[in-house]
Amino acid sequence: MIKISIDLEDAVPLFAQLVSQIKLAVKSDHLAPGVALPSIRQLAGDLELNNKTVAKAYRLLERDGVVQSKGYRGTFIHPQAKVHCDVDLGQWIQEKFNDVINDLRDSGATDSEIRNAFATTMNNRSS
Amino acid sequence: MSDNMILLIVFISQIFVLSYGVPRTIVGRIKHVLKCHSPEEYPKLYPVTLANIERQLSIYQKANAIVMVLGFAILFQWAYSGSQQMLSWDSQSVINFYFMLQVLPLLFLELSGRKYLKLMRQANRATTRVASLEPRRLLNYVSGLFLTVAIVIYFAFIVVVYIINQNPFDGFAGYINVAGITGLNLFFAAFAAKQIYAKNADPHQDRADRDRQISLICNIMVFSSIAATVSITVHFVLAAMDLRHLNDVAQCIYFQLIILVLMHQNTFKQSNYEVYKQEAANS
Repeated sequence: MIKISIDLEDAVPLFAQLVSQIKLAVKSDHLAPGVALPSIRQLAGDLELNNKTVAKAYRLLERDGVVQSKGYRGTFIHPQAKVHCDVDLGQWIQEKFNDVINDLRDSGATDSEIRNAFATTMNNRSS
Repeated sequence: MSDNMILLIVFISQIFVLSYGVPRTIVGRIKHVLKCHSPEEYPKLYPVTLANIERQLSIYQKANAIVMVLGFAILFQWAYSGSQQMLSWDSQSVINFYFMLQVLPLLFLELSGRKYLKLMRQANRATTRVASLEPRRLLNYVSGLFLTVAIVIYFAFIVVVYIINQNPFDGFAGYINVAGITGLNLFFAAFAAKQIYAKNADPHQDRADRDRQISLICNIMVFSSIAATVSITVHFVLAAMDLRHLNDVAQCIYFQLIILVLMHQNTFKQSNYEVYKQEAANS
């Protein structure tokens, strides 16, 4: 029976701890493709977390192609989960940002202008 | 043997079983756990002092003693008055009301238990939490056969109600009875679901003990569903056969059966008490 543990005092956010441990379990073959995961309510209850924390972890795992949500039937490990586990979206975002910011600085833009443009872009996307 | 004599015997049994036998067993079980697991060796088991726990048990025992005396008072009044009905009122109502009084000390114990577990959770300073990644489902805890029996009995009850409704006896409420039993079954199902998916009330109890406790409670819920449905069906059949005078006896027996089975939950034997020991200083 594979277990997951979280440390409340760890600097890493709780949802990130869940994501990384489930990915580790997939990569080490402790969770096979097609296996069912506990419901959000069950896992949140067992770890004494807010449902939203577990829901966020499951959402990120689904975005990364590690799990599949099948409605009322529950959440299952994706058939290609092991391959998708190696894709680190966070690292890809960081690399993209590094490239874009380097280009903007090379063109003469100041850090302040870059920050303002970023904030405006994010605000426009969310409104 | 007259109906009243049978009722007298069964009611005396109800008084002894529910206000003496059951409390004695429960208190004995709790005292045994306290005796085998001292506060010095198992500090996490004692969010309150031993004196506090013994005080709560004493209140519980005294409450049961009072209810027991009230039961005998009812019997003496019945014998003295010479009336056909208890308290010169309605025997079935008296039995139902007296049962509610008998349940009050159990309710007190349940509420004390919840407060106790809450104090354990508040005292728990562990920052690491562990959970299994295996989904839990009702069929992990209750056999498919037992569940099927409960469902079949429920549908059989609906058939009985339909049959009686073709030629109803006086006071028969028809299909409202089906709504009542359906509501009761939904309550049992919701209670079982809460046990399976809710947070563990005892923060130290290990998973194996927790699973065994959930299994016991879920099976009790299924049994309660069957017992309630069968009981009301028996009442209807007795009424339809013009044997309503036996309803009082059936009710007394039903109450004792229910409490004896529910009390079984309180005899749940936790196997791992090591979780309540103090952690090592360097952990």
